[in-house]
Amino acid sequence: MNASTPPARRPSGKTYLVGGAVRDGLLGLPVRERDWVVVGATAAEMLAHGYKQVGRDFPVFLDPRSGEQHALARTERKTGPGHADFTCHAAPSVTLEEDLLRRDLTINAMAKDGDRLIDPHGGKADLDARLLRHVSPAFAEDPLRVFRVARFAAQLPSFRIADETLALMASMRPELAALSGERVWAELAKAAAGPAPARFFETASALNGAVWFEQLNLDATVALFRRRAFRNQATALVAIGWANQRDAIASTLSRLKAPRLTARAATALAGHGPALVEAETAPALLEALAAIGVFRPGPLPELVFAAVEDCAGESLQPLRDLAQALRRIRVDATPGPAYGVALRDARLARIASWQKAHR
Amino acid sequence: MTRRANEAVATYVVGDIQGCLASLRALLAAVGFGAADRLWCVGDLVNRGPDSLGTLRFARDLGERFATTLGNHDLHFLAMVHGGHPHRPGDTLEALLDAPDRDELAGWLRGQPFLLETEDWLVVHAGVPHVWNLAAVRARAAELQTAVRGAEHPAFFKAMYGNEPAQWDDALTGMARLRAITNHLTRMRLLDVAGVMEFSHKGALAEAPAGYKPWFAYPSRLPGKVVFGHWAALFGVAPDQCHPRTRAWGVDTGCVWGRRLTALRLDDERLFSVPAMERRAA
Repeated sequence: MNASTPPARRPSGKTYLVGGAVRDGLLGLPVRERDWVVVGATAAEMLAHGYKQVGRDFPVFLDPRSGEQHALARTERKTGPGHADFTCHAAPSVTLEEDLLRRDLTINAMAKDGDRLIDPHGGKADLDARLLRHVSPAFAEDPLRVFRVARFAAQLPSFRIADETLALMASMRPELAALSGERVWAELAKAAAGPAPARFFETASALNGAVWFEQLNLDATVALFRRRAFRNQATALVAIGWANQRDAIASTLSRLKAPRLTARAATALAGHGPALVEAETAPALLEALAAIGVFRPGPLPELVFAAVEDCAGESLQPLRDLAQALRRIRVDATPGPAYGVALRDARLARIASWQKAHR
Repeated sequence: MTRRANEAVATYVVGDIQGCLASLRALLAAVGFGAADRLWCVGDLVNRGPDSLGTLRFARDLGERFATTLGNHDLHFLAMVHGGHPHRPGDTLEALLDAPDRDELAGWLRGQPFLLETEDWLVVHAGVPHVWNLAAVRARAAELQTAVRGAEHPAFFKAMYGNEPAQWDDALTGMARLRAITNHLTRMRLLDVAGVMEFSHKGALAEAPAGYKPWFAYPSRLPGKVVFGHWAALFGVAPDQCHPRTRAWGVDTGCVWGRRLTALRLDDERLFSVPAMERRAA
């Protein structure tokens, strides 16, 4: 924050710490960001005190000093099938307990007033019992919560999903198609960065693919994530391609609106990953290297190499060195069709001698 | 942290910590390490990382809930304390060696074994050579532990270092025998089919010298599964990367090299992994 920002006066309402910060604090996990609820204030009051409104439709504000999010206590009612189809009622009369009631899981529905824990929905008991349990039947009003719970299962791997919550999630299947792909992708991406990404796919599998993942081979995907650690979020996401058919991963990631590089790398991994590790002929390896973009500029080949290394549990440094050597090959041939043939022959010869040494 | 309801005590086997206490704390928080859960380590609690002293104190303070097999870096620290061995380049043991409770911590570490067992699992630092069966690994780990714990331990630590013998022979005796056991249990990576170890290669399998394979690429004579560490360059090993008759999990994912700290929960064979928290030296 800019040090010259004048300190805003506190609005008249009372402010409580809520959500993930309360949960992670109780779990001893690092608290990344803190969200607050303000009870007994109006939007006009917040703006008058220097808070900046974040969205047009929700009474959510940024504290200009801390950059932390402050939301007016509100209730929500569903008006349509999607994640965003809500009417939101924020008024000074909405209580903290009412605000906590609209939240997804009991462990996310606790608040703190200084050191005092406010826990009207049994969040602390569920936290101690390591249970992901929904707060109320209103859970079903937001279908994105199905994937949020799957993500929490990956981020909090000692927690299990309560049977009644899993049943409720299964009953939400008809609503899942109306979600936006980006929102589902965002939950998957968070899960991939967690300590046990396998649990996201196990949850999807328990929900018969949860619509968005039903083209995937979830058994193979779960098995891969249960036996390997991934160096980072990017290789973990690309690795989904290792366990799946090319068409299935391409179509799934396209519907999820996955970032282009991730989608291309995962699709390349599905089509050519095994060949990178075990191609027996020079033409097969050349085809795989060309398909992952070794002869074009850009980050794609390195992302694929890193993901294959994490999936196969083996260094591809010799293959990286080969790719570098292939890029440097120049042939002394007349420009035209003959040039391409000569270049291909030179590359194949280089690959063949490499294969003799390495495979 | 509160104890999990409705669940039995879990056993987590964590990879080489090497003084990365902040990463260990992050991993334990991430898995929801319960007040009754057990933490086992494949060894190399110390060295190369920033907080060997804190790591040893943390592990010791877990009391009965903690156990580790001894790794080559743990032995190196003990050899500096008891065998007069000098500091080596890259060591980060100064704070530990200067600590007021150094001798107490060294004594506690010296009491740790070279082999941990459950009904289904063996935990060792480097691995179990294919030429040993269960009775052999048990007996040899116990022999080495006796030498490290016993009154003659200074003589052991003085003579511990050396690549020879690089091959097991039942007829070995004395220091040569103890050194052979040490080399197998705490330093082994590659062997040839006759069981001769190769010590210079620490990198990836693709670059291994001809004629040598990792110990887990040979058919195991053990009835159960093995968890091991020691080989960061592999970034973990799963049973599908082993010989079909060898079921081994490698859990060293190079935390001290800025990669990840990984644990295997033995009860349901699940991996948990967090990125390294330590700031890396430039």
